[in-house]
Amino acid sequence: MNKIRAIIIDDEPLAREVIKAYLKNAEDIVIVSECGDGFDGLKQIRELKPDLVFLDVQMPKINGFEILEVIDEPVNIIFSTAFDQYAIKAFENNAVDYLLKPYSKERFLDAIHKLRTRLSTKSTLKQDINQVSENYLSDQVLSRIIVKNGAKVKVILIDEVIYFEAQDDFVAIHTKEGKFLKQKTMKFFEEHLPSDKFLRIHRSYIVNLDEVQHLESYEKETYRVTLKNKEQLPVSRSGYSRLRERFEV
Amino acid sequence: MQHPLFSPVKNFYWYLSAWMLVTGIHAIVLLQLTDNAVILSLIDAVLFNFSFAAFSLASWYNVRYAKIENNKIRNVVLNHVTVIGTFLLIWISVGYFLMKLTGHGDLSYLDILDKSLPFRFFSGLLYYLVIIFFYYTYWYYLSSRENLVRAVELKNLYNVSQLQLLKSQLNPHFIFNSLNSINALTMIEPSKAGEMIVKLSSYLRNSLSSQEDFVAVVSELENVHLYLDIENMRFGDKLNFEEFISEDALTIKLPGMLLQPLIENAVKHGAYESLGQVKISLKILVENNFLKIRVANGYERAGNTSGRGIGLKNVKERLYLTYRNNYRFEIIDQGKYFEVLMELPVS
Repeated sequence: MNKIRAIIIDDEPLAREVIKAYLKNAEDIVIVSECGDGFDGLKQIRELKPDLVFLDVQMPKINGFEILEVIDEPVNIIFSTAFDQYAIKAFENNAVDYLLKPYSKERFLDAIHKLRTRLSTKSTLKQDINQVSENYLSDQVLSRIIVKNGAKVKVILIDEVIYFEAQDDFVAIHTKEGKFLKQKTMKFFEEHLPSDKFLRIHRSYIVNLDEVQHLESYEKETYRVTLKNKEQLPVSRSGYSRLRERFEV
Repeated sequence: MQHPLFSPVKNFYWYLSAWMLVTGIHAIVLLQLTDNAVILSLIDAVLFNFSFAAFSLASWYNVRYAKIENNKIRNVVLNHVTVIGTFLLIWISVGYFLMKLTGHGDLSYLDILDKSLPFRFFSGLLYYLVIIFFYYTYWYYLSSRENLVRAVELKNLYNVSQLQLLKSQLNPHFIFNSLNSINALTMIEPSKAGEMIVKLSSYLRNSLSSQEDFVAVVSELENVHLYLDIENMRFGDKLNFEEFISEDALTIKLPGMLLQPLIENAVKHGAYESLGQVKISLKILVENNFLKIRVANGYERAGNTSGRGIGLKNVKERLYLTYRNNYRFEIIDQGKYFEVLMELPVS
C-alpha cells in the first residue's frame, strides 16, 4: 500500500514539531516536506502533489485560506488555528477538519483516521474546502488580494489597486505594477472592499477613490472619471449619483 | 422628567375631576350664601377654579427648575412666595373685576363677592401648597428611582469594561500558540518545557495584575523579558531584540503594564507579519526629569490591519488619566520602520 505523503505548512517551528512527534508511530504517513511560510508551501504543493497538507491558518503575509484560493490541485487539508473567531466560524457545518492549538495526540489521530477513510475512497473535500475559504473571507473587509502571477503568487495590498474591471468570468485588478486576473465576481468585490476607499461607478468598474483626478460630463447624459494615471473610465447614472453622494458635488 | 399630571394620561383626568369637584363645592357654597344666584355662582366657580387649575399645571415647571438641592432653601421659599403672591394678586383682582361686571345687578352676590376676598386668598394659598407638595413628593420619588437605575447601569458598564480590558490584556493568540509550543517541548525537550510553563504563568500573572499600581522600570523589564523569551521559543531567531537601558532609569517608577503593550505591538506589527528577521529595539533613559522610553521595530506592510493599535490606544488613555497633560506620546510611522516614543514625568 502506498504511503500517505504529507506536507506541513506552519510558520512556527515548534508547531511543526508537534505534528512530527504525533506522527512518529504512524507508519503509513510520511512527511515529504516542511514549510515555514505560505509561499514556500504553495511551491511544495505544486511540485510534490501531496496527499495531505497540515495547514496553519494564521501565517505572515498569506494565510491558510488565501493559499487555498490559488491552488488548483485537489488536496486534503487538516487546518490548525490557535485562536481566530472568524476561522472557527468558517468551519461550522463543514466536513473539513480543523485542530485547535494546543491539541492532544488523540484529537490529532482522530483527524488522521477520518482522513485515511477519505483517502481510501480517493475523494477529496475540495468543495467543502472551497466553502470554508469562502466563509472565512466573506466575513471580512479585504485588506489584500492574492492573485496568481504565472507560476508565482502575488499579494496585492488593497491601496495599491487603481481599479477593478469586469472581464467575463474574471475580474481584472489594475495596479501600478500591471493587470492581474482573479476568478471572483464584481459583486464579491463590491461587498468586501472598504467602502470609504472604493466605489462602484459602473457595472464593469470599481474605482479606488484616491486615484480619481476628476469627474466630468462626457456626452449628453453620460459621465466619466479621469484617473491620476490619465486613464478614463465610464460612469453609469447610478454610479454618478453614488459619486455625487460621496463628494457632495 | 415628564409632567406628572400629563403622563400617564389618566392622571390628567383625575386632576380634572378633582378640580371639577372643587368647582362644584365652590358653586354650591355660593348658591347657599347668595340666595340661589345659580348662573353667577357657576361662572364664579368655573372662572376662579379653572384658572387656578391651569396655573397649578404650569407651576410644575417652576418646581422642576427650583430644585431644593441646587439652591438654598431660603431661595426656594422666596421663589414660591413670589410666585404665589404675584399670582394671587392677579388672580383675585382680575377675577373680582370680571365678576363685579358680570354680577352687576345682583346685590346679594356682589355683597358676598366683596366679603369673600380674604377667603379666596387663603384657599388659593392652600391649593398652591397642596399642589407643590404633591409635585415635590413626586419628583423625589422619581429621582431616587432614577438614581437607583443609574447606579445599577453604571455598575454593569464598569463590569463589562473591566472584562473587556482583561480580554484585551490577555492576548489569546499568543497564549494558545505558546501552549502549543510548550506541548512540542514536552516531547522533544522536556526540561525546556518546564521552564517555559513557569515563564508563561509569570507573564500571565503580571498581565492580570492591577494596572493602578506604580512599578519600577526594572520589574517592567522583567515582564518584557519573560514575554520575549516566550516569543523566542515560538519564532527561533526571527526576533532580533536589542535594548539600551540607562542605570539611573531602573529604579524610576511608572504605571504597571505600560511598557508591555508597546513591546507586544512591536512584535505583532513586525514579527507576525514578516517572513524574515525583524529588528526590535528598546531604549530607556532619564533626561530633564523625564523618563524617556523608545520602542522601535522594522516592519513590512502586509495589509493585515485587524486589531492594530488598540493596545496603543489603551496606553494613550491611561497616560492621560494618570498624567493629564504632563506626558508625551508619539508615534512615528515611516513605512518600513515604526517608532513609539513615550516620556513620563519622574515623580
